[in-house]
Amino acid sequence: MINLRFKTKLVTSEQYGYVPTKIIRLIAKVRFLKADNSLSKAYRALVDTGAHTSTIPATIWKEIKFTTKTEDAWLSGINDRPECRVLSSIADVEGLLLDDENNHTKLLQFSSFLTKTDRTPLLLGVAGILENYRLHWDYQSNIAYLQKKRKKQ
Amino acid sequence: MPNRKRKFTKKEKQYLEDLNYDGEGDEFYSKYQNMWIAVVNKQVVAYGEDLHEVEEEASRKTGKPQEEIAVQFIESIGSVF
Repeated sequence: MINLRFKTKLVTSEQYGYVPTKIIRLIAKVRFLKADNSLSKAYRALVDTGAHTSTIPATIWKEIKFTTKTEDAWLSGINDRPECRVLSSIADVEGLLLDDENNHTKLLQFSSFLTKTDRTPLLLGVAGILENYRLHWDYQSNIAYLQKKRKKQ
Repeated sequence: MPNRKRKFTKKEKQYLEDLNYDGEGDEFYSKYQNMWIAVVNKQVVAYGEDLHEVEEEASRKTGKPQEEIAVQFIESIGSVF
């Protein structure tokens, strides 16, 4: 079991006419396998059940081991206009998830968008990660974790 | 890799505390949207759009190696991912 953490912020901003906006994020920690087979430092990542694939910003992926599958892949969010897309490549990377109790997964191989900019968050998506775990989300109790699915005997 | 637990060192604990630090109130969202910040001892010691530059500046200011500097991206409040 890997514990996750909720971040909750009440943000009042001109952008939303000063109407307080509650932002709840589910946070995980991840370490990546580097080219010399050592592990990177731990990064915080947003767990995103709506992302079919993880995304890794440029400075992070340049330090890790990856196998490119496609160059020049465009990544888009809610708006798919060309000017809103982010240039990326798609690659397989390896990493493990860990928590503050020093629980960690085995090394997982997962497909990721490697963005050509740092102006993107580190997102953990479904492919290779969430698809293999049960995600327990109980915000009211402040409990969230990922649990490995047991194989049927 | 076996899932064996060991105790974190003091340095590792501090790193995790910095990695978990979300700032006071909405200060991070009001100051650093779409930027990376480096946090050492629960203080923002560097920020900017280029993560590599942020890590370098934080390392220069604190004397800590970049591997020991916790960083996080502050997304735009308009991001619904």
